[in-house]
Amino acid sequence: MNTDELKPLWNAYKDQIGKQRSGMKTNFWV
Amino acid sequence: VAKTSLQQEFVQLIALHQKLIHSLCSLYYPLPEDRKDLFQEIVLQLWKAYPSFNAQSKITTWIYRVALNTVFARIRKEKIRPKSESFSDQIFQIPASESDGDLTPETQELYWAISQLADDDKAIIMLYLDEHSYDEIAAIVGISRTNVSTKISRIKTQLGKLLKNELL
Repeated sequence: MNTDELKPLWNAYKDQIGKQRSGMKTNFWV
Repeated sequence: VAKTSLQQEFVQLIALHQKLIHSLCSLYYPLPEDRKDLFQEIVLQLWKAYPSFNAQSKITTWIYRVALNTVFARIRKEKIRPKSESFSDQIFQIPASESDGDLTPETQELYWAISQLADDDKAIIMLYLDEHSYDEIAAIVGISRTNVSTKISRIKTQLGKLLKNELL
């Protein structure tokens, strides 16, 4: 298997997940 | 650096790299509530560690190190003290389909295939796919470079089998 094909797919996955979750608010106290 | 500007800098950093953290959270904890908890915990740990971040290190390497330490600490804690099973645990152990709508069939397949791997192997392949060197992976995961090389080869074969009917 040519796993180089997986790297662009992994980047696409991260982009899609990031886009999906970008509206999520994160609150924490420091 | 004043705290406010440090906070601003940190928020920008998280905004820039949040997709990496979200991706990692989804692969270890498919259920939305667990995933959100983990995301919050990772961001908190990153904030605590931020003052000691060495700017000469690669930022994604540092994020992975802190994030994976957080994930594995949580997994260890759950093994010692498992969450009590409940009706919802029994019935709804399904990746959140409502939020998978934006994934293409190809990226859903990749997500599925990586989520089938052992916890350590997930970390190794994520680091590999994000262009970390074998030495960097060895340092983050805490195994030898030779072991990283062997494991990556084995994981590639495993992923190849899992994806062969889908992508190849």
